[in-house]
Amino acid sequence: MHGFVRFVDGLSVVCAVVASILLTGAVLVVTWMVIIRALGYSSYWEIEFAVYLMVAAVFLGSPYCLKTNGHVSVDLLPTLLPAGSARTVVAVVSVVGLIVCLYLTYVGAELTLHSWATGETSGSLWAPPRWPMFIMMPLGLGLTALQYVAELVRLRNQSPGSEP
Amino acid sequence: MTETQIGILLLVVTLVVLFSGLPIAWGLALIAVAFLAIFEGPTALGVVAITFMDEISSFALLTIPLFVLLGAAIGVSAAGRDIYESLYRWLSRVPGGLVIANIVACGLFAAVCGSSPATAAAIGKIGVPEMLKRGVPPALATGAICAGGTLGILIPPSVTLILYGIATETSIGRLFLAGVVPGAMLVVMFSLYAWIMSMIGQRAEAAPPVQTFTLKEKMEGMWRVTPFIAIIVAIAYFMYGGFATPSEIAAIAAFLALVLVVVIYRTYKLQDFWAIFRDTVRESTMILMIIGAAALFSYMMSLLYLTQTAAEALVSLEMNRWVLMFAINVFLLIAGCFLPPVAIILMVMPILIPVLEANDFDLIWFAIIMTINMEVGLITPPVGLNLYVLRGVAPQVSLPTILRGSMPFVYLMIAAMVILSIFPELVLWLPNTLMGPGL
Repeated sequence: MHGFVRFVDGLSVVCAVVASILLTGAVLVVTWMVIIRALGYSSYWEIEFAVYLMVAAVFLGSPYCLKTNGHVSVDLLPTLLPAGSARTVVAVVSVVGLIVCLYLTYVGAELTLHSWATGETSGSLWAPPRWPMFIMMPLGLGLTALQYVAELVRLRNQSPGSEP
Repeated sequence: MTETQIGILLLVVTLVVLFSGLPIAWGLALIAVAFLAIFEGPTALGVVAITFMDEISSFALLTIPLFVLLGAAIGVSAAGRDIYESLYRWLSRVPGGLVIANIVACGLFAAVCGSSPATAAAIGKIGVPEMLKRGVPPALATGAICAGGTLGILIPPSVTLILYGIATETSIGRLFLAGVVPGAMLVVMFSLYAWIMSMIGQRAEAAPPVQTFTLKEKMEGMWRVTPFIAIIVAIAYFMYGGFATPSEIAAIAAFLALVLVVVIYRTYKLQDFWAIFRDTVRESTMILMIIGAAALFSYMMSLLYLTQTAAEALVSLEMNRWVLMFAINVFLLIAGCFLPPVAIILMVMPILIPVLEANDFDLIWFAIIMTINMEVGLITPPVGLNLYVLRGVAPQVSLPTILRGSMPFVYLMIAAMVILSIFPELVLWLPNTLMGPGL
């Protein structure tokens, strides 16, 4: 199981690196747009493309965010409980988080498939298909669900005696 | 069930779910989906994914990752140290000059950074050890940074004000301008407090040796800060001149900051860039997931007619408007102790907008009051993010000491809210002068 945890951790870091590159792309695209507009040319694809990049970046960043405990939470309940039951609460909360991510992955996949099948476009001048943006939701949150599984494995591997 | 009963059930469930330690984004999504399924039937769930996606795929929201990136880029560089060191050299002869230098540095840093914990971390990681070394009482040293850091979300650019602008459909440029004078006012109030405390402290014990600096030393390091001041001025110029939208300005500012960090601070190691982007991706994801989930949450509340019921109930109370404002602030203070500003603004504003309008409160003015209120939440337990940042930069100072040092600043912030309520012009003068009177 250690191999699995390491693999998922690594995958999350890779996704975060890809997210960083996409975000840099968004910075460059918008900067480019402002420059060419200042020079008198018109722009039509840049805004939408930058939004696509941002959406992709934040969904791909989600598993890494979970891995590094970056999704803000209020752990009032676990801190009030004795160490033993706190562990149980953390485990239960992780399972709930896993279920929420799986559900959102499912509805996201449904949305993506529907959008892909109907050939839906954004309706703007550039009119890109919308499914490449939608697909980031099931992808990112599916990977987040996978990271939850890894966190649960990690939690189980920690012997209760080794808790701080 | 009546709307009121559902509303009370929702409040209880929300508190339990959010305090369980489940990430706020997933918690809000879970509650929204559960309430939709139970009270509207499973067919209402057909729009869950599209509601989430439509909310976060907006060009206005692109400002958030980009301003976070701007702050992270500058945070990784030594700009924080330079700002703070040059201020100290100018202020070294003033009692409490070191503390004041730190507070002003927080204020300046806040002008390129939209987040409070990031501001506290950037200045605190150099400022706190330095202050402790030179004999500033630990409570004052940590309290000053804890409070100074909160200026990050009041002084533009501010992630909190961007969200407020999106949630209330008010102009982000106007909101940013509205934060300038109150931000400066808080810097002055904090500094005065530090000055007075240092005067009292100096009388009690032997005066610490005053270090003097020559003009050359004072100017040293200044030139390295200049480009960042230039970024601040450029942001202000473009934003208020109406030449570009906030997202465009954020992109250019982030681009320039990255270039400057490379050119001036010679940051070119892959490791440093990873640190910048890692933090940016983490924070942006966290915020945008909460935004998407909060959109689901408010969709659910509005579909079940809860938002409207709550707003109507508040309007029909026909309270004195200042009693109402007081009650709203008490509620926000309590909520702010537990939840991050992002979640509070998105969940509460749909209810408050009609209430504020019915009572003739200006939405721009309220943005600033609410932001200062949220700042208090950032330095009070149990979820005071800034407290934990300071624990990180000064592990030798205990949490109770940090808290003791922060409390006087909390009182100053509350005093600032009272002053701004008596003199709303302090908030509204700058935006109205530069952008014309609001609607």
